[in-house]
Amino acid sequence: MRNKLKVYRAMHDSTQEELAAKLDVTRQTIISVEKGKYDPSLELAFRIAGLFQATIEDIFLYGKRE
Amino acid sequence: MSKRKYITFRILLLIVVVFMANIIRAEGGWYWALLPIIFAIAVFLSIRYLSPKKVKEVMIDERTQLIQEKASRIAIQIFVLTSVVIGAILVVISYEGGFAFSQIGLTLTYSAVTLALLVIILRIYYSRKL
Repeated sequence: MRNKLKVYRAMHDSTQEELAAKLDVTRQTIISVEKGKYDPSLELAFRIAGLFQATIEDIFLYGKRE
Repeated sequence: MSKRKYITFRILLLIVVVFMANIIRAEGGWYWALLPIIFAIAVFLSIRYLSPKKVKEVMIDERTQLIQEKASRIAIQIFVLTSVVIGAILVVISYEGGFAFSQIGLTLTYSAVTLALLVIILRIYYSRKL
């Protein structure tokens, strides 16, 4: 699964640490998600989408990693 | 307290407790070895939950849980396999005559079997629960 988390984070002028604190996860989790090494749970994906006021499909793109 | 400081403190505490437990165990009865463990639990809990400078950062999230699950599963598999193989070899060697390794072999094998049984029981329990 690919994602645009880094793009959305930049759009909202937020750091990885701030995002991690808002989502109640570790900074390493945000780094892993951004790098595409870790696919978040549905709950975390919803929380991320809700935080950026977007839909899950806007941020996460289903498909094999490049 | 930052997460890094907390983890460093936890490692140091573990080293101190193991060191203390070994000294006390060598000096006296095994029950004295429980004292540093009780001390460690008290210190750990007071730092983690009661200290005014308690850890504010997130320590465990879904990714760290997944990592722990994977690490535990692999550790159990390695432990069970190696213990059974080494235990069986030791028992066979002792039966062949000469070496008195049967106790060590049986202890290793039984501990591996107990752990495997515990894993099976917990899997059945959680498969019904989830």
